Order: sequence, then structure tokens, then C-alpha cells
Amino acid sequence: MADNASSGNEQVVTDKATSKLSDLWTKEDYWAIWLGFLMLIFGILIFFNNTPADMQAKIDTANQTLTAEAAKAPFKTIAWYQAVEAKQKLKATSSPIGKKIASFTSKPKGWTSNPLDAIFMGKAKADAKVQSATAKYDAASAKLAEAFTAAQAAETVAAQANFTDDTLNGTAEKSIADWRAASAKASSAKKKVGAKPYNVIPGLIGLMIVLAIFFGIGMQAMGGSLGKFMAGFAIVFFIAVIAYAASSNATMKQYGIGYAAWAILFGLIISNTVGTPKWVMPAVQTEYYIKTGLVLLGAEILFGKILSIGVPGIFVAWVVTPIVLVTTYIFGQKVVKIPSKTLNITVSADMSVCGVSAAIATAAACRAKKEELTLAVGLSLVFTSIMMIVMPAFIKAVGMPEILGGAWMGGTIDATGAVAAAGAFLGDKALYVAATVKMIQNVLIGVIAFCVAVYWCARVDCIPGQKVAAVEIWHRFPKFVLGFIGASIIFSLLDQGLGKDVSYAVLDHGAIRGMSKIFRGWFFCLAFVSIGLATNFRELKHQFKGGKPLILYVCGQSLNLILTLTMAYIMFYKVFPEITARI
Amino acid sequence: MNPVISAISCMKDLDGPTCNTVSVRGKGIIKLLFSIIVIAFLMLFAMPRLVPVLGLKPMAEFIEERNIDANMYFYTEVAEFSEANIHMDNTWAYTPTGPRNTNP
Repeated sequence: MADNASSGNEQVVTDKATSKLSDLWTKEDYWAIWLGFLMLIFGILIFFNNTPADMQAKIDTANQTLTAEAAKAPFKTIAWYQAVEAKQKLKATSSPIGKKIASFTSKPKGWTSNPLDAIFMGKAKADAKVQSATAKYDAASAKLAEAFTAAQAAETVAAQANFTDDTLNGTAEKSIADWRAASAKASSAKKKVGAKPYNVIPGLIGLMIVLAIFFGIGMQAMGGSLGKFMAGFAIVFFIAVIAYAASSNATMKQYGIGYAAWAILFGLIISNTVGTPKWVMPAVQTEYYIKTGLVLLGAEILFGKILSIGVPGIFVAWVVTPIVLVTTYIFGQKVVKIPSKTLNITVSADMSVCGVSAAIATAAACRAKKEELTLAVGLSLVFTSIMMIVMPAFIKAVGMPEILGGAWMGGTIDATGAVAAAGAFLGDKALYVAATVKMIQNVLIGVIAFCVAVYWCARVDCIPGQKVAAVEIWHRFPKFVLGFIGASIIFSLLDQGLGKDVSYAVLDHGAIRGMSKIFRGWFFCLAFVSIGLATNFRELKHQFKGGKPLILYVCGQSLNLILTLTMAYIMFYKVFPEITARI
Repeated sequence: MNPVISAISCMKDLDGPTCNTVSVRGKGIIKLLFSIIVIAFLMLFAMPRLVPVLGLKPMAEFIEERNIDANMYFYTEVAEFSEANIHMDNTWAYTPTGPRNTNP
């Protein structure tokens, strides 16, 4: 059987094909599970005990309004939207403790021309910012008031005809859509008017100490030195802060360049110029951070979401995506002849599922080399930026319907943030469909990571033709995947048990967005910094030899674009037009 | 020799004869400084100016106006996904079914 327990610096995951009871406290796979679950339990305890005031009463009132409005008119009325907005405001993260956690774990803030604005802003500057934003906010508010009056008038006219006149209903629907668009603009402008002075340095120092202790305990138990780890961790964390600050730049948001790219780049620059200092290396723990982050990511994968847009969404996200993934992988092996199977599957998953998150999960599940993950992230970054700009422009140019365009973009653009931007650029309906399809695709990560881990243990990491015993598969199986899947199952059950409205308030906008999401982001950022700090440019260049990964990505993405568009058209316009009409 | 001084002394020609005498660490510092300068130049000067040149202006302005986190990686990191999710959930649960069509 192939020995995959090679150098820890070369692989994202290393395991030996044996299992002992002591693995539970000496292996990072298990530590990732313990630490991840500790954080999730902490999140549940905090947010389930700090629910919004009068939550159930407010939900009941909103639902009564929704029921009445749904029966009254054949379109979504102003009151219908207001009731949804009332439920939308119910968030456990808005509780005092939720705000404290958000403040303590705050990442560097957005900035445009002065990098210092990412970590500090004095009162004078905040006041100036508010002043310059006020004019825009006033204009947006005036337009909102105007649009609201017009929407009310149009709805009243439609109501006077008992909502039985299609022309009047259509006019009202259009006016309400304009009001919604004006509301979104005014809401964004309002956030800018609310600029306040800040200094995130004390919070960042505190967070660094907490995370150093958090990971350091595991390092000590696994035979490392807590002191040496903590000393090196300060540098790794510092670079992660710089990476987050770079990604918070307004121009970088416009190009879709996120923290992962910056973390790798800054790490690479240091390791390939002055070299990563030896005393920092004990904290360069790519696998440890990634696995712990993935356990937290599991909690964000809620299986109930796959039904969010009905059967068409499942076909677009859960049928096309695996077909593209498997086809691209086979194409990579048979036609492009990618020398590394792990690189092939990582790029295939990165391209077909949802970019960086899928690449991380798949790379960890199949024990890909860190350079392979870096390459996949780089490819995703370049194509995401291009597709985010080109796709909405193309869809508008050819006059493609919003819903079809949204489904197409949601199924093909890698990064979720870029999907939101491209979808919203087309319109509200495109955004809703694009975001929902992408969200369903995000949920697929858990299944794919699990299948890849099993396939690699049973078929790839063995001598051709040799049958692998079940116990051997268990020995070789990356155990953190169990934590990842376990967290997903537990949180999915909680999501279902609580019901959509309560789950939204205390799980989605509580334990997940108030805890899991924040720390998972930091852990992935630390992992990407570690990848950069331990990678040599020459190794990276070697992986790109002959441009094969690029050919694989382009061919796979072309297939993805064709299949997704075809499937979206068939599902949303031929098989289930009634669902499309309801959106 | 102080690595910073030696680094500065060969700043003009990285591969020239002066640099050959500079310590490996000194060259490393030069490369690091050069990388930082290149990144700062790209981030603060070149890339913002390339936005209109590359035809990115409408999307860039839209992202800025709506304050969208366009460079995030997972659905829980983007506010618009939460908005889309609650909207879709309520669309299915409370689909408008009121009276229609007397004016074909």
C-alpha cells in the first residue's frame, strides 16, 4: 500500500495507517474536532440564551401579516415585504453579548487610500466621513420616500380593483420593486452615515492571545512546545491581520481579491525573500488550522438549505455540479494528463463547486500538497474576477431573463461574494436565485469532502488492483472529516428542529454568524499564511508546468457554463415554470 | 556588515557586481522591500486607475454603493445571502395567491 505519511510540510493532511486510543489526544485530526466542537458548543450556549426580546411574539405577528397579505393580493405587497423585514431584524447577534463578541473578534475595517484606516479611525476623521456620506444618504432617503409613496399609491389603486386587474397589479408590482431597490440603496447609504471612531488594535491583541492559547493547548498535548508555538504564532497572526487589512481595501473588493490570496502572497513574499525565521515555524501549522476551520465550516453547512428554491435548484446545484466535477477529474486524468491526482481533484472541486471553500475541504480530504491548494486558489481568484464582471454584462447584453441569469451565475461563479455582486447587479430576483443556487452548492462541500476522503482511502492510496479492507480505510480516513460532517448533521438537525424563523434568529444569526463564521475565517486565514510561509516559488512553478492546471480549469469551466445554463433553462422555464413565476 | 546598509548599497542593481558581495540576508531584505513597494503601487495606484480602463467601473461603483463583500468565500460571510434566503423561505411559505385576471 502506498505510504502517504510523508513530510508534514508537503501535505495538507498526514496520517499513518494505524489507530490507537491515544490518537484522541495526540493527533491534530482529533484536536481539530475537540477545539471546533468546543467553540460550537460555546456559541450555542451564548446565543441560545440571548435570543431577541419578544422573538416569538414578533414572529407570530409577522407571519399573521404574511398570511393575510398572501391571501389578499396576487403579488408581494408592501406589508408583505415589511413583515419579512421585521423577521429579518430578529438576530441573536444583535444582543449585547453578540455585539461584544463581534467587537472583540473584529477584523480590520474597510479603507480606500490610507491603510491605517483599517485598524484605527479618530473622531475627526469619522465625523468627516459621516459628513461626506450625509448628502448621499439624504438623497437616497428622499428617493426612498418618493418610491414608497408611489408604491403605496399604485397598490391602493390595485386594491380598489380588488386586485383583479392585471394591468393595475403589474403597475403596483413594478412600483414595489422600485421601492425595494431604493430601499437597498438607502440602507447601504445609512451604514456609511453611521461611521464611528474605532481602534481594533486592543481587540486584535486580545484575540491573538486567546487563539494562541486555544491552539497552543493542542500543540502541547501533541508533543510541541506551548511557548515556542505562542512566540511564532504572534508573527503568523500579524501577517493574517495584514492579509485581512489588504482584502478590506475598497479596490480589492471591486476586483474580488479576498484574504486567502493576500495571506498566501504575504507568506510567500516573506518565505522567498528574507526567509521564514526558524522560531516562527512551530506556529506554521497549516493542517491544524485548516482542519479546525473545517469543523467549524461543517456547522455552516445546513442540509435544509438544499430545498430553498425547490427542485430546479437541486438540479442546477446538486446534479450539474457533481457531473462537472467527475467529468473534469476524468478529463484531467485521461486527456490533460495532470501528473498529480490530488491537484486534479482540488482544481476540479474548486472550479465546479464553490472556489476556495471547496478547494480547502477537498485538498484536506485527499491530502493534497499545499502548493496544489495554492494553485487552485489562484486560478479561482483570477476566473472569479473575470466572471463577476463579464457574466452580468453578457446576460444584460443578450437580454437573458433575470432568473435564468441568476441561476447560471450562481451555479458557475466560484466565490460567493462575487455571486452576490454579480446577482445584485442584475436585479433583486437575479440576486435571490443566484445566492440561493450558490448556497445550495455550498452545502455540497460536505458530501464532496466525505466522498473524496473515502475514495482516496479506498481507491487512490493503494496499490492498483489491491482490495483495501474496511479497517484499513478507517485507519487512513482523515478523522477531522467526521467532525466536519458531524457538525453539519447536528446543526442541520437543530436548524430543522427550531423551525425556519427561530433558526434564522438564533442559529444562523447566532451560533453560526456570531461565532463559527468569525473564527473559521481567522483559522483559514492563518492556514493560508502558513501555506505561504512554508512554500517555495520554485515548487509552485513546478506545479504549473505546461499550464495543465489552467487548461483543466478552462475546459472544466466551459463545460460547467454550458451544462448549468442548459439545466437552468430546462428546469426554471420548461419543467417548473410555476416555481419561476412564484419567485 | 549591516544587512540594511549593504542592501541599500546595491538597491540600483540587484544582480550587479555590488550585490554579489552583499549578504544573502541583505538581498532578501531588498527583495522584501521591493515586493512591498510593488504591492503598495498596485493596490493604491495602478489597480484603482485600471478600474475604468478595464471596463469595471459600473460593477465597481455598484459594489461600493451597495457595500457588498464581493471578495468573500462562503455564503455565511455575505449579507446578501441571508437576505436572499429569508426572502425565498417566505416566498414559498407565504406565496401570494390573491385574486387575479379580470382584465385580460
